[in-house]
Amino acid sequence: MIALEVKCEKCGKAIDVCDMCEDPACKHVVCHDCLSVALGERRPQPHEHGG
Amino acid sequence: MAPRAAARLETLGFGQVHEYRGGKLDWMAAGLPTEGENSLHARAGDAARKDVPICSLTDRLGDVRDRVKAAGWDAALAVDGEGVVLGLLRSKELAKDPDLRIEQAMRPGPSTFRPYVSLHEMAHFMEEHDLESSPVTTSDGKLVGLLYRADAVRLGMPPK
Ligand SMILES: [Zn+2]
Ligand SMILES: [Zn+2]
Repeated sequence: MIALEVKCEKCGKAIDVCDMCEDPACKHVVCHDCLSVALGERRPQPHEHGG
Repeated sequence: MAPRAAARLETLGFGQVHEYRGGKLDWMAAGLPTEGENSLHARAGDAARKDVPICSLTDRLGDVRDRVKAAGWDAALAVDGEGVVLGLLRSKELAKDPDLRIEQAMRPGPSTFRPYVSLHEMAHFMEEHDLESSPVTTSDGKLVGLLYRADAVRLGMPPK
């Protein structure tokens, strides 16, 4: 196992590998949280004005 | 709503029959009209191929590869007795030593996606990350199907 550290392109968080493709050479690294939010699997924040 | 019913509503003047779920592929396959906007509403679960070959961890890779090729596929998913996805075998993994067990050859714990995610978003991500296919599972990990990038792009991107 090679522990390469990469940074999420969106939030800058350091992760082992891109959550989307798991390719150490990925040029658009995305972390699990940002991917979940982008795909609508999870809400980023509770809505402020209750909508 | 059945495809015929939806098409009928459209001919009757209900031009915006968007909440057609579960059978959008049939609708498209039948050559019925689809609007650009419809493609933005398509979901990963609609386009995932449900007949993807499956195997178990202890199967011999060579046997699985023969079965997968005979069925006209280039990928398979390793699942447990409950249908929970444990690993992915794309062409690269299927090409390994035929005497390996599936658990030695597969990509364990692949990233999986929920059936309700937007096909449009999936198409973007799959292109950006150069993924040929991604497993679609329920939130408890059970296999729904395998989503091919070609299908995601074809059905999730509005025609240019
Ligand atoms: Zn991130
Ligand atoms: Zn990536």
